[in-house]
Amino acid sequence: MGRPIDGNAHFDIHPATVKERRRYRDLNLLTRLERFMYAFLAAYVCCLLGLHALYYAGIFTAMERDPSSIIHATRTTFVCIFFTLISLQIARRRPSGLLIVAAASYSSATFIEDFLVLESSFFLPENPMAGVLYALRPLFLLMLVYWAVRRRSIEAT
Amino acid sequence: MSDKLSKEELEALRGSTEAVSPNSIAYNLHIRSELARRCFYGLNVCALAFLFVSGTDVMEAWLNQVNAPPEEGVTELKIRSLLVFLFFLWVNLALIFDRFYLEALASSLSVYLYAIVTRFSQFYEHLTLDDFWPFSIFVLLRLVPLALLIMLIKEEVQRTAPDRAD
Repeated sequence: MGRPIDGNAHFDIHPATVKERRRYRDLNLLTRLERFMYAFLAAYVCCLLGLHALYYAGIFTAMERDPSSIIHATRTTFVCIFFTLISLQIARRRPSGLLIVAAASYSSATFIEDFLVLESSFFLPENPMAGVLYALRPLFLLMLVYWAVRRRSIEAT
Repeated sequence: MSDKLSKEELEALRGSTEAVSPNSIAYNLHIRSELARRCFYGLNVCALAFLFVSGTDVMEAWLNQVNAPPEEGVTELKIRSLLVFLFFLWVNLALIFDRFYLEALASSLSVYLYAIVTRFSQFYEHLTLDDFWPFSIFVLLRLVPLALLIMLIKEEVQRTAPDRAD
């Protein structure tokens, strides 16, 4: 049926052409694993921002001023900016590898800070959701670093 | 196909490998632009100056001069020194081996921005008009490495653009 029988049958399963590869890279599609990681990281960030919102609701009604509110506000801003920019780049199908690398580094730096100095910096430690988020933080970091490496390796190919 | 190299090929290979190693800082600086080289030297000088100064009490005295209590919501200077040292190592090793250089610069930029924002937010409610000059010098000192990092990223993105276009 048109299939060569001289040992060159593998030519039927042709590798991706240059044009196809360029198209795939231009579209900057996420792989299945990346989509899973993005879903997990987005859920984590949304829970974290929910915790931030609860914290801010508390400080507006509190009688005493919390001295660490500024650093909390800074972290909220950074998390929002990174999450928005990465999501926007994915939605626009533009390269997002460097942004993910930057987000992973920022998360690692804050983790080191929290681990070594600011022990009570995590929002509302008495909240049950905070406990879950605190326990999942190493997994979050690991996934973010892995995603950064994977995305950069795809984009740099 | 013969796997033996001709005499000319062997000589060319020997000559190119003896001249310079591609895993050397000299070679990897040489293939970059003059501006990138200068920015790289400048960034290293800034990082080394910070690391030397952080070993003394100069930084704490400076923070006291601009009237900001360091214990309020901002981490210790030692952690900042550790982070600066880690990124200094990463950027230099990445340049030497020409691997993850752009990633090292992007990471340094994000962490440095975070450090600047937290440090400046520490000051804003304690500043008075008398602190204008010490604070403006402080801001300028902070902005120099930031500008160098941005320049280095811009140069590196420009340099690697043809590879990505293919």
